[in-house]
Amino acid sequence: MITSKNSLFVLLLMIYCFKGIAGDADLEINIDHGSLSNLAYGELGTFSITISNNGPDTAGADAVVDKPVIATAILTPDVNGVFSMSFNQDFSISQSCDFLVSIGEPRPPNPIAFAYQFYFPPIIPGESLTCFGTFRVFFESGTRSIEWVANSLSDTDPNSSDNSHVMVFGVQPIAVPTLSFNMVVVLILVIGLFTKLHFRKAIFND
Amino acid sequence: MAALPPITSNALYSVEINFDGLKDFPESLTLSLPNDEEFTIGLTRFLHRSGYLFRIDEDPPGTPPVRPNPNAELSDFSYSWQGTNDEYDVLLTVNKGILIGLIAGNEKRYTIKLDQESESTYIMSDVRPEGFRPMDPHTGESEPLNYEFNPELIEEDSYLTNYKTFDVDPNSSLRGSSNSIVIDAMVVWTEEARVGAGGLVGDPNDTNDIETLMIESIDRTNMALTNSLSNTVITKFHTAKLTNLTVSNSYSGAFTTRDNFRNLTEINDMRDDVGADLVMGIITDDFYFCGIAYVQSKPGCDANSQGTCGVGTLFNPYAYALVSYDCQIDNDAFVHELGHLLGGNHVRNTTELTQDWIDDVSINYPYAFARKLGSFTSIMSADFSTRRLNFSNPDVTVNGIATGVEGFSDNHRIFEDFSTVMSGFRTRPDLIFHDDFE
Repeated sequence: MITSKNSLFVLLLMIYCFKGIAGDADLEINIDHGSLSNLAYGELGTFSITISNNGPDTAGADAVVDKPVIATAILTPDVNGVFSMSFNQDFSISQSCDFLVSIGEPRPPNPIAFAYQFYFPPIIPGESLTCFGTFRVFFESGTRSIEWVANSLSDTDPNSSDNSHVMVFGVQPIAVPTLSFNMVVVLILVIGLFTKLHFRKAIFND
Repeated sequence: MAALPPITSNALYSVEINFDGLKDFPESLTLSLPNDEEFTIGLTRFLHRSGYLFRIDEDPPGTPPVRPNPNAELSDFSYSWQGTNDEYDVLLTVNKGILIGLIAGNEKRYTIKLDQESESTYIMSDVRPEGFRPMDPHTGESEPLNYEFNPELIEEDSYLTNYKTFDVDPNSSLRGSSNSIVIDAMVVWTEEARVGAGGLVGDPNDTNDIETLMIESIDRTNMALTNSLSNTVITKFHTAKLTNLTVSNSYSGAFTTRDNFRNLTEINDMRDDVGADLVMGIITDDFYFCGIAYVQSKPGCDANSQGTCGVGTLFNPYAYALVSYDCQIDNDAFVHELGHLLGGNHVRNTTELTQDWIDDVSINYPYAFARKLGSFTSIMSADFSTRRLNFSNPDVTVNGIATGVEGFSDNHRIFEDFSTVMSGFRTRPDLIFHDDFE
């Protein structure tokens, strides 16, 4: 026979047992942004990160911290030692995320790395949360990419195929001015004249 | 201390420590270094922690205010001998008969630690960047990085053990300045760190080495703060062994490790219980980084700003850092990462920070940066090879070089900005009624 006191004990035991057990939450990350392909050096752009929870459990429900769902991008320097991009929170838009940057100092002489992280509050199944950021690019030409990855500190993700999104940035090459036909003719004449004078001087010296 | 074999770069030297003389807090030390270099440095601070007697009314006239207990064994003594001059910082921390030493010069750096093989002799290392064990080559390509998750981290029984508190209050020293803003720290360590620091394999109670490492880390932090004329100090710190942190040795997984560390129930509960304003974890050397920390004065933030920025009180849930045990003694990793939590930035150039970071932080905290000039670098520079134990401060010089630039590189000032708020992140239970008021 289960008394009311025993029932309470069983209930508390069940709550205790469930607390701390990792849930299952299928997180999906999507990043919205304008064109990233024709940027200029130092250009500022905006983007938004949306993390959706496709269930079945609330993402981050069993976490200790208040904002346990995270979108992370790790930046390492280019071959020349310079960081080609950077990220920040878009402070012009009110949002529920914390945005933190941390630095990792590897053993010398390896380079340092930055982790840009949006910290989201728990997300219930079927819902999404969006946070807003800015980026700037600091490279002269070509493309650079960075991956944003979503995870929950207290859950297992049954489908990790939609947990990441790669942003590919392209910088428009600086246009090199071309010579007109007339300028090419003048250039050939100048070179020819210089060569002729040079040889005449060499013969005279001999 | 006596030395030494012939010169080689990154060499190890066997050294002798005169513990009998050192515990008597000599007014100066003469150190012999490689290259036939010898220098004498005066005592600037001596912290007496255990093994000492204090003068009482019954003592005869002329009794010194503090003296070594003649009946104590060498292993009963715990103290820190500190000296600073233009040429060198010398820090010798002794705990339970174990010494960790740092000799940080303008161009050279040596560290002293117990030889783990013999357990009786000491080894002095000539520390250079290339002296670190080789890591996987890093190409710097901006390819997407693989990411590891450890969602199964908190499953079984997990708890903290070996809880201890150490009182390292440098304000109770024989001399030295008084620092007034007290930050309370919690330092947890793992079994790998205990063994790596010199503890016996298979004997989890052999914690003398890891405890000495932690005490030395706090001493070094306080010495750097004091050298920088900072009012901030760490007086008491709480330690425990952490048994349930899975450490990833991958580049990207390291940040996940730090996030998981921050989310551990035991860590948060203990932090609340002891009233720690910040938490440091000392972990295995099988970790890609020497250390990881959030930076309080990050781009775009100021003290009055946006509710999601993570500065001031909003930084409270993020005051966590991880350090590899092997990087503290040679590389100041503990001091450096703690400096990031306090708001310290790297040197203001694009090899140590992004251009955006420099631009943004310069708006709200233009003085938050470290200093690098000639052979001198301050603690918060990412270039550690010739660091002195100084955070940048334009009012402090080392060997004639200002350690900071007014309004440009002044870690000391950013610490003053943030420390008062940080010191209230948690409240130490033993201080609630410290004035007997109830």
